Amino acid sequence: MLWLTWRQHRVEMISALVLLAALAIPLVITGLALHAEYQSSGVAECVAGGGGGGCAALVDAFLERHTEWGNRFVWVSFLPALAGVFIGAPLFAREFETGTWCLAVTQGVTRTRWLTAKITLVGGGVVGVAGLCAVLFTWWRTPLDEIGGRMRTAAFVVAAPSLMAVTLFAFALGVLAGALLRRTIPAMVATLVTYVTVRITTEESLRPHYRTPLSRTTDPTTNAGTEQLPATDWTVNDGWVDSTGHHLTDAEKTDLLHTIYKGRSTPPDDLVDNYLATHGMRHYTEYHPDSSFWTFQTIEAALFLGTAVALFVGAAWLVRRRIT
Amino acid sequence: MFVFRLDPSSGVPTYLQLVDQVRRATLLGYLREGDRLPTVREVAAALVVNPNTVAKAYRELDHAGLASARGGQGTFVTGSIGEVPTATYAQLSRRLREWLRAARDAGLAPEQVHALVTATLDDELRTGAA
Amino acid sequence: MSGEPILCCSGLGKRYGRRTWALRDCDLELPRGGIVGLVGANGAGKSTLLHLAIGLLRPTEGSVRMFGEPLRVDQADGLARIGFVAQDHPLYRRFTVADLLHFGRSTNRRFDLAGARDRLDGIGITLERRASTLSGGQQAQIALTLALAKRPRLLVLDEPVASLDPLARRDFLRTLVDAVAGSVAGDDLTVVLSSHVVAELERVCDHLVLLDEGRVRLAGAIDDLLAEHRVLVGPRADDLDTMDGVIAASHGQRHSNMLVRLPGPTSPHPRWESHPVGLEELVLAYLGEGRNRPCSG
Repeated sequence: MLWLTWRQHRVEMISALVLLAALAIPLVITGLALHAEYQSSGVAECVAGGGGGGCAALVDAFLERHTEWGNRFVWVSFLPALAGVFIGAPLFAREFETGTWCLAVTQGVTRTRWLTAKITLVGGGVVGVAGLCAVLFTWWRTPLDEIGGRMRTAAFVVAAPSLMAVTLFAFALGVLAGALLRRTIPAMVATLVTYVTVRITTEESLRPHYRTPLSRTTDPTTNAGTEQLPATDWTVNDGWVDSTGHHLTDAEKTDLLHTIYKGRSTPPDDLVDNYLATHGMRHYTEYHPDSSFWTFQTIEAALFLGTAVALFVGAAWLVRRRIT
Repeated sequence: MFVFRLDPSSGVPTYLQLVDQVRRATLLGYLREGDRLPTVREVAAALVVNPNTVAKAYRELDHAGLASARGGQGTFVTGSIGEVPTATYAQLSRRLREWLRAARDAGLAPEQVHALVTATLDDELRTGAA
Repeated sequence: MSGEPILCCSGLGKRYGRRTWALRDCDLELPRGGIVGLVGANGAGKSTLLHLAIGLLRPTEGSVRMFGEPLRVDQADGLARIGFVAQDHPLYRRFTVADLLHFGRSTNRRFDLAGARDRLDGIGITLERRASTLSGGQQAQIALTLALAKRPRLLVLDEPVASLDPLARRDFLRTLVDAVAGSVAGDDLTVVLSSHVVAELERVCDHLVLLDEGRVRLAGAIDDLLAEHRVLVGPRADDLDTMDGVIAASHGQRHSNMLVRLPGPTSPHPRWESHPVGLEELVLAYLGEGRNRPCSG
């Protein structure tokens, strides 16, 4: 089965590697430059705790030069879709469409061995390529991650556990779609739509809740003027809390702002903070600290891995039912 | 090597056609005693017919004394019918044709003619042998 | 052909959904070493029967015995003894012929690679050609070669020549016949092929199974079947239509033609002219009239 699986899917696997190489070349070039600049400009020292005054400005300048590119890594979220749509969906769909399943299961290989070999060998290859991508992306982002933490989306989705597990999930989704619909194009479309939906939902609604966020309240006046390095925390919620401990809703916040700015055509900068301070209100932040990173990675990986396995089992059952 | 042919629309079973062809060829001198007939496999492949049918024909030939298998070397023509002088042959052939025309005019169908001939022939052989 | 049947179906049936029976009450014994023709209209259940016979489908009722033992579905030993070419002879279209041979060798315990190469060479198919660039006839030959190279004891072909031109059909059947003739006793090859063209089957098959609407109407050695049936022509006799043994009848103003199945080697009444029956006529009679009468024989 090893030779057969390779021969059947070698075009896809080689294309994946070519894609990886195409990404690698510019990333390695720019990444080396980024890492060099990080060291030589003194930003690395600043982050490590050394340096002194002027660090904040230095770091800000560095970020301003490179954050835009760094944020583009958010799109890595959708890279696994390629695995699902172009490799997973045709896996069984094409066999049913062309009738070659009949040819495959009437040689000397049992049906179970045939379908498990296809799923594990191709799945393994796909996850392997994802792993290589993760290494590449994570390496590129290291300076930015040391500054801003790894909890933000652009940093989180490129890490190996998450990327590999999500790729396996996307692949499994494609395999199930192909086994269910038995036509390549509809399976590809279904996979794409489902994957994008699930991914967006996870990003927006699921990940912030893997653990209960920590809470922090600050006096509105204490921050003024202090120079600070950018926080490594991932803020999931923030706003104002009044003296009774009630978190203001957006509507209440808007009303309050209307009250504060009433009649002022040229309001001073610290008008809001002063108002809040005099009324006993404070800023609150709900956040996940950078130290939660590996826990979050494990949770996300387990989630997608578990789902992937369930999808594989479903796909295997569907295929067996069709070919017996 | 002897070449068979098959007429699928003649209504005569395949194996009989093969037997008849050997019989006729022997009669006409195309096959002589000691000639080797093609193997069952060769005939089956050449005519695209079932090998068992060819095997059946060869068994029939053996039964009729026209050809027999020798060891593992193949099937050979045995007991050739002596060559008939051309003149005798032509005369007998003409008289047979006249008789056949008469039979057809009398309303006999081909199978009936065939049945009549074989029945009479068998009868003759039996009384001849007795 | 030795005595023990290679395939035994008892009460075999397959139902799709709630009520559609594709095959019902199928009792068959197929002899070893021959070429069996399975004939019937489209949708008569030929594919279903073939798939059930080799274990590609699980029966709803009944059982299959192969080589004298219950059919071992989906096991390496059982798979090694069976060869199958599905309808439209599917192949991996992007593979070259060499790839396909490699595929056969890597997925089968026993595979005669040299023999397969020789056979393809003999019909002029080069190893570098991609399967999708070959003609239908050549693809069929490759599918057949792959199936034969694993040296099966039973080869099953589902409408193998349906989409081929006459020359390709002849070549395909030639390869088949040659393979059967070339298989040695003890390791002999039995072939079952389905078709809805009777004339071809008559040449290469020695055994026939007729399926109509999911039931076996007729089964037996072709020579025996032809010997058992006769067309009787005689004075008009409408009343004999429904008599047991009369398969089909047509009536003129003053005479009748009846296709009958004789009980044993008895001769018909002298009053009736007796003619032999061709296979095609026989099959059509069973298919046409069999619809209106209960299963005979």
